[in-house]
Amino acid sequence: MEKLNEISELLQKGRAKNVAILVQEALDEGIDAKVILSDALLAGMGIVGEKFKKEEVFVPEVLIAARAMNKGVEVLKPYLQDSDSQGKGKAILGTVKGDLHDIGKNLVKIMLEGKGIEVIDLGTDVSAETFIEEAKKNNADIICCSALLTTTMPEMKRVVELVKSENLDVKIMIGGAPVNQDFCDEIGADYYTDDAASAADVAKSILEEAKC
Amino acid sequence: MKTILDIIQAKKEKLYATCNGHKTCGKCKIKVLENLSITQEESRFLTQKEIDEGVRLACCHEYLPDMHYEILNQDMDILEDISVDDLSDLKEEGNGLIVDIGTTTVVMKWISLINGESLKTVSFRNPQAVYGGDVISRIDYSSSHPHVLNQVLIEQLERNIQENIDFNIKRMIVCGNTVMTHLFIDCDISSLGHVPFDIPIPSTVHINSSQIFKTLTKTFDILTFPHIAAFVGGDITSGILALNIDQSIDDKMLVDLGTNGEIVVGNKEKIITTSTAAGPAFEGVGIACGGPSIPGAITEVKINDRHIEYKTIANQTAQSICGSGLISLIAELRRKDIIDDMGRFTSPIDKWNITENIYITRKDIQSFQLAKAAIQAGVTSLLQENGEVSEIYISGGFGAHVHIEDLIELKIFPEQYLEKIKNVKNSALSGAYVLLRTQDDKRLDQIIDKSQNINLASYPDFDDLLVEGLYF
Repeated sequence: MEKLNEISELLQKGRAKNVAILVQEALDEGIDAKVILSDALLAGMGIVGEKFKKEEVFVPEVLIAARAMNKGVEVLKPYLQDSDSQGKGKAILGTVKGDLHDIGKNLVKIMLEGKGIEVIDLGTDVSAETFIEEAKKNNADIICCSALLTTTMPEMKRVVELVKSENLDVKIMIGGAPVNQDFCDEIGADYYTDDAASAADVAKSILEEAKC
Repeated sequence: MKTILDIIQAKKEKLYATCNGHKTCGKCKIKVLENLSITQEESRFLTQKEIDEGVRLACCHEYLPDMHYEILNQDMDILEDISVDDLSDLKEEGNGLIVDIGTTTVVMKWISLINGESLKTVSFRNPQAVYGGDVISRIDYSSSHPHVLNQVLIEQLERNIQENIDFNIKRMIVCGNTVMTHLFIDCDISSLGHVPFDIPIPSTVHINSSQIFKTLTKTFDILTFPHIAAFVGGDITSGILALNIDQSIDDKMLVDLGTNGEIVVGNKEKIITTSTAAGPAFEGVGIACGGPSIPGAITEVKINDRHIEYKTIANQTAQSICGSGLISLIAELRRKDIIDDMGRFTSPIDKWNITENIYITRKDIQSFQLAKAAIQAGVTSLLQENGEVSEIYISGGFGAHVHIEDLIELKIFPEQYLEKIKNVKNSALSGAYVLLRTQDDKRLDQIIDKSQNINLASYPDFDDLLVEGLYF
């Protein structure tokens, strides 16, 4: 639909105010809120994610597009029923205990949502226990841990240990500037990715495998 | 397995290893004669030319006995001038020593207490830099290797004092951020590495030199600066003192353009401080052709039609772009519409060359943009909260070299402040000078009492300001 395409285009350009106005217009025209969410907002964000992966756009453009998406979602919120939107899977996301950096974590959230994955964002300074508790409570498929400080990376190891000791059927993904594949292997996490876009790709493939 | 970097660190050789062996910064370049195969990590950082010439990253290869390597990084150019008020009515016998322990550089200055003249200046790269470029990697390293960072620093300070023992020091003033100050007195700093970022000793430390320097026969008093918050340390307290912000009737602002991007706004009644987690882009870290302020680093760029003019430190052949060069370059690219307001190249290119080998990529501009947005959002929130200020001081490793017009072009500061922004030289060392001569440590306590540190993330609209700040 033309309106939805227009919203998607504006979102990709980061035009927050225009996105909010057009989402309201779309609602007034009687388009279903869920359709606006998936076919305009998430679709637009998905395109931004793809372009980001191909290095056609960069972090600043992703951040302004994400802000535009959030403004659109705010307008939609009252119209979205809590009708368990059968998503493609659930991921628990957070910056580990001791660390307050969240730009990277927020990028991962944007990219995962762009792939239609439901993200439960626990914010920053999240302990290993909280990751596990929330993963169990929400029946999550993936736990994603982010860290920027080298001093807080050891908390990721605790997440891995707790998941193992509780025998949870959940994959652990880790990322952040000081993290690398060596560290991932060393602590026994399932996946390390270099950036937010490849994190979303890996998460999607984890969920697709789980369905088979 | 021991890497070549481990061996270099053990031998205390000087190599700039920003991430301390996490294989994420690509800065610990060495040249090897052996034919070492390229690892996946280092292929991301090295050019084909470098690979062919035998350049490798010291953190990526196992050290084998009889291996030959050559360290490729050089030492830093250090800012060592100071600027303060006239204190000529303060006269006493003897000499004093002021020391600015920066994360990257250390400056020692012997001062005559009779006339306040500088007798001698010694500066050197902080020897801790081989264990990581930023404070977080130092905290990380010291948690597994207690006392090492203290020892390497003290050794070098002690040697310099010993070599200049004739100056007969009466007292020594030390300024530095929280991590540097605590490492100087050999205090455990692990609590500075994680939430809630507790400062082990926030107050001034009075200590006798015999407790720090074991071999010196003459003793003297040592005084450190108190800290305002974990990321707003004694160097900022010292800057407030030097610039008289705590005695000003009008509101004044101090902005430190560095990794933590500290911002101070205040007057004689009240001082607000904050830090902005700008990241190390201003120091040239994470920038393809970025680097520290060493000879050969580009500090300024001008583009006239198709002709590119640039200046380098010590007029040497251009080798990299340092922080001030990056600010100058990006401001000029914007001015000449080579990039748009989102930092994208306006023509279909993926990098823009200054010289044949030195260039800037969209990714570099992005790293810079995130750092600038953090500082800009901090400045904007404090100006919104506080109202107008009469003066803005820019400090930081290269604060003195930056052109104000460039900071305005990049929108870091609002245009109406063009005439009110001033570069300040080493404001931390200047504060140490003031304290050395006035001995007014009560004033330091008053500064701490007046100061309140705020967390910008809790500000309403801060996220919006951060996104706004991304635009040029």
